[in-house]
Amino acid sequence: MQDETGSTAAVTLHAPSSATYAEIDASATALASILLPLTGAVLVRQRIKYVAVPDSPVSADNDTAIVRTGLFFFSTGTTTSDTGIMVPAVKDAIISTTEPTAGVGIDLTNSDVIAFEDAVIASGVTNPFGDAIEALFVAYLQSRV
Amino acid sequence: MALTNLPTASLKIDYRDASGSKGSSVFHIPYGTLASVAIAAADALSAALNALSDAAIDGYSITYAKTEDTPATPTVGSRVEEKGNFVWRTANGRTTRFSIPAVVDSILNARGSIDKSNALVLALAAVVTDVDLVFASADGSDITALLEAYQSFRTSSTRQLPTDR
Repeated sequence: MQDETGSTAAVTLHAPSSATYAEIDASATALASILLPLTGAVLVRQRIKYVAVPDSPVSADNDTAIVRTGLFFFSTGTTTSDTGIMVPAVKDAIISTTEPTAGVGIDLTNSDVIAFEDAVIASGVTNPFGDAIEALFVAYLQSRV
Repeated sequence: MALTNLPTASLKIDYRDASGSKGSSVFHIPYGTLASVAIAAADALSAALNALSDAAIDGYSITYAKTEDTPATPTVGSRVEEKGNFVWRTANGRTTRFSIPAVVDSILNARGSIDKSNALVLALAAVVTDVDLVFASADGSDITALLEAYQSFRTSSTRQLPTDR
């Protein structure tokens, strides 16, 4: 919701995580029609968010910093935009040890990297424009502070 | 005026390293992807990412967002810091709440409580407690009735102060 000054605030309600997007969207639409006469602000955005957390707290494997990021670039076809995925605190084991990218490149033949590529493609992930990901073509280490 | 979506929804996987610092990986999924399918994909991707990262995966969120393409004009003098707080009973005997920003004065009683017999408030209660709709408390319990409602004010941030002050 946005008021006259441009400031924004949200009305947050919960729904069972078993509810479908269509069910939640229909409920949100019904609510919005009732909500708007109750406020001087206007509707500018709606978000439906599904959240999952681990059953019990988990710990980091070691002291690798979160800023030690792996950047994975995927192609989506010859005429559509590539897309990048960041993975924080990447493991040493996937960093290339052979030149010319030793120490900075990510080994695309590593079995865990291949499993990640397979998972990305199988999951139906796309670039921001909805073009399906086809292949991982380059990945390297980057510090993002 | 209509709420319109981008081509994709987003999947954000959250991490925490040994120092407590946080990071994330963001993926895009076609907007029409069923939530159950997106959740299965998120589980699979989390498992694959766990093998690549030394950080702990703290969970994930899948967000379907829509933006109003032609927003209406807010009421003159409306301020999101002025809240209407609505506290609800739930089927498991607990309570849940949400607030409505820039609540209209016409539903307020003289001392700042909200008139629960007002037609607009009754309509809100009917929708929120409608068993055909999905609203629940954070623990998943159905919302059954409006318990209390009142006006309150949040502190304005510097950016929210009038520009002509």
